Amino acid sequence: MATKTLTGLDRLLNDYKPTIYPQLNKMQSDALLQLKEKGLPSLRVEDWKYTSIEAILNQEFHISKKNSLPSFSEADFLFSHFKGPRLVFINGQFSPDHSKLDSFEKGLRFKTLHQALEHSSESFKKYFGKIAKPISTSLLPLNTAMMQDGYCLEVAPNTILEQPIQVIYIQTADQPLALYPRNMIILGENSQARMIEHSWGYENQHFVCAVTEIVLEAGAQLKHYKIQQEAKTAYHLAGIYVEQQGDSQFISQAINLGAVLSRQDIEVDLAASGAHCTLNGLYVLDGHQHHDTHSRIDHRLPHGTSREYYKGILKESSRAVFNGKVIVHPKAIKTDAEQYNKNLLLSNDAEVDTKPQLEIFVDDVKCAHGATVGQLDPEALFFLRSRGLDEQMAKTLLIDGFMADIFDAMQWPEIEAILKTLLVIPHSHPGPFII
Amino acid sequence: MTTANNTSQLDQWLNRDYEHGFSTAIESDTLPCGLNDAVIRQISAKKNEPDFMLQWRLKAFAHWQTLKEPQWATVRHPVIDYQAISYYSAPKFKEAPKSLDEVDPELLRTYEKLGISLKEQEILSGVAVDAVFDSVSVATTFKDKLAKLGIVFCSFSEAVQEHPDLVRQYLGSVVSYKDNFFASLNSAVFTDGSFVYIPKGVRCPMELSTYFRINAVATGQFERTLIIADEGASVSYLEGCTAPMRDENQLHAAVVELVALQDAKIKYSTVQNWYPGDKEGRGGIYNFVTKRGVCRGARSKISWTQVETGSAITWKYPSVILQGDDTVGEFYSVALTNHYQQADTGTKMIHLGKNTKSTVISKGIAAGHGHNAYRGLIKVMPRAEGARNYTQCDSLLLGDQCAAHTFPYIEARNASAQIEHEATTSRISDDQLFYCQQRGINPEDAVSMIVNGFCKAVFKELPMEFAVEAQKLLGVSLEGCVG
Repeated sequence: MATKTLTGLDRLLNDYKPTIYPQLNKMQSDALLQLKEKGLPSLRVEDWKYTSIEAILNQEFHISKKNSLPSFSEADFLFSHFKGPRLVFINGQFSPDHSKLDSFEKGLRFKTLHQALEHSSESFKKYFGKIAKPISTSLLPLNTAMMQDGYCLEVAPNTILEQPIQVIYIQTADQPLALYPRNMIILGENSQARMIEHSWGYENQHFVCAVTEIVLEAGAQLKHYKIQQEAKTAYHLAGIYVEQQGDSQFISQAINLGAVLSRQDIEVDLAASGAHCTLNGLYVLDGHQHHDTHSRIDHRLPHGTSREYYKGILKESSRAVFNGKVIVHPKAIKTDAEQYNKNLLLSNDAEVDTKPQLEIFVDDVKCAHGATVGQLDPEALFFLRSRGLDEQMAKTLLIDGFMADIFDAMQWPEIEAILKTLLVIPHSHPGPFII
Repeated sequence: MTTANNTSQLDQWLNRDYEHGFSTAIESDTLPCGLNDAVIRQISAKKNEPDFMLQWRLKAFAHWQTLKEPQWATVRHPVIDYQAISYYSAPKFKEAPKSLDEVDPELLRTYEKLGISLKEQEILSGVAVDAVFDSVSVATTFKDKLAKLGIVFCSFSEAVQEHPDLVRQYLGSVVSYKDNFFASLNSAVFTDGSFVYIPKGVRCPMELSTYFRINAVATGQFERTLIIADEGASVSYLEGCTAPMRDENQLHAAVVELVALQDAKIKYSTVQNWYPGDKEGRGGIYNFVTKRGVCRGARSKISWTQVETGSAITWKYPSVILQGDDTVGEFYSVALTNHYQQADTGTKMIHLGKNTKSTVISKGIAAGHGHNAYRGLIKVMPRAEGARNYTQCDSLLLGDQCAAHTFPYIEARNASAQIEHEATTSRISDDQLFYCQQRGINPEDAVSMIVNGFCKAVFKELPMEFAVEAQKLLGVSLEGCVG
């Protein structure tokens, strides 16, 4: 299809098909217009200063078609022993066969994106496409223009879900796919839920450009765990956009292990007073992996609190980028914000570019941020070795210690145990990491 | 003491008038407004410069014309019309002054009002002052004493005449004429500044200092300072600024270049108190400065200390390139923005050599509608084994209309690098005030104590002469708020 004269963006947009859903018409035409005017971000855009998507633009991708899907056994799923519903998307298509749909609790409603667009609920109509702000410099317009299937989850007010909801994305196609999942999560007033998202795939140069919009109505609580474990040849660029209403709580734990190029945009809007968010993350990279975390927290009204804690371990020629923005708007008095990024550089060829950023427009606030880059403490290594541990063991212990507070903050021992196995013992597909 | 009361006291000091606002009636030899090749040739001719200088200026101008004014800083101002500025203004003398006695008495009175009487300084304080009035240096003191040690301390135009080889060798070697929009402009049109050369192994016996003044209406001031410390030399240089009150905005685009060779030490301190504009944000100086030092030889050290309380807009990032092994770079800064002042300031530390160390301490105070931003870059290149950086940037907010931003960039490309960045933003908390009052300290003293404590880490880095002035400046700002 593609000829030399086509730019990377043209090539990606080649597969664009006008939508059949009237409510998407304007959204998609706006997004296309934005893409045509501004193009995709280059290194000259401040928010993309350290992350180039050139490799994606030079690649040719296919769009996923319905075809026979491989079969998986229960053991192929990381959290197979967890009770509760499971949604499985294979090559971007929802796969009811692999999903567990019988264990939905009362008050939880699931639809695929297509179903939700066909029969929209009131709250879906109210929020869909409104949470992710067009001012964002992420790949949002690309996803909006090209969106494929995804999930839409609604939790009814005052519902407390016992079991976590699992969402699994698996990329198995034998040709490089461009995938544009689009998801929506709406938690009604005073509801509570836990979610685990896990994406992984077979060795191939897939390009995942995902967008998830999340709304927490007043008093709602969501714990969101995301494990990105794509093949180390894949590209994974995802955006999470959250709107929080009064006294709601959003807790995000992002573990990034896979993909040769990955980027996580996370934008949280504390739109009402008393809202709290925690954004934690861990990235462990080796080879020529490049991971970029871009977070933005907007404190708009009084008494908001936010905590951000990202840690990274870099081996070989990997590169990590962190940019955390906390913006305290003029009305947001009594805001309490903290933001930390700590990096462990284990190789001279690795690179860290970090920028914890504060923009504060009011006086009655408490904000702190910090960033560190360092290596294993030689004295601590010496201490351990003098007690008979070999070098590898001593290093492993220290690195374990470095990661410990991220795991502790998860407050969920089962997940912690699974993650630790991911970090040490190879999983059945590429992406494991041995320290 | 209630919060309401505190607020009114805050208002009192926030609304104080600019103490150094007066202007001196002196005839100026001024070029008409506008900028083109001819103007640059004229400036160069007026200064009787050798050809290499003219060529350099023309190259810079040609490059500047290809540039656009940078928009990335968090400062807002009306568009500057670079053609509406006069690029040369020199005070007129009947003949060149040979000693202080011959200097225009009107001028000397101006300095006296600022409390820096040259005479007094010459006799009492032992500080050599190279006073720059608008664009031409009018008096240089203690020259003889310094000359005996081989130290060159003179105006830039004099250096071009007397030491063209040194100027040619080092001019633009740290801040090239292509560096940025304002540095290019400066390279094309700079009229004067200071030049310092400390020969091998010489320790400069006194603090060198320059006072800058912006005086004539609608003249931009383009200073260029070049300090070279040869092997094993050391020098402490002070720069102080006060400017008279003016209604229209004035542009100041200075360039400072420091070169430290092996084992050399340069300490550069600034107190900047230019006219910040009135309470509504009208007028005030636009201060776009490029300051950079390079630690070229092993074990050299460059230290920047600045107290920025003036200017409507401050845009400056004193930087250090740590090229030699075991070199040290330091940056200590207090920046105060009040009314509608805006400051976008910080530093860059570029680690190239092995075991290079840098320390950054930045304290921002934002009051009224002031905007205060710290923007810094710590870059560790792959060969900088054992590089070490510590950065602390704190902001104190006074009043609910002000803003404080932090943009710290950290780029580490060496596994043995150790980089730490810490920052906090807060106002003086009710708890802190309560704690002090509980112990019998009145609120004014408490605020003073807290603000002074907040800035202490920077003030202690200033040379004696400046520490007094800096505290005075901050004290003036805090008056009414603290008894």
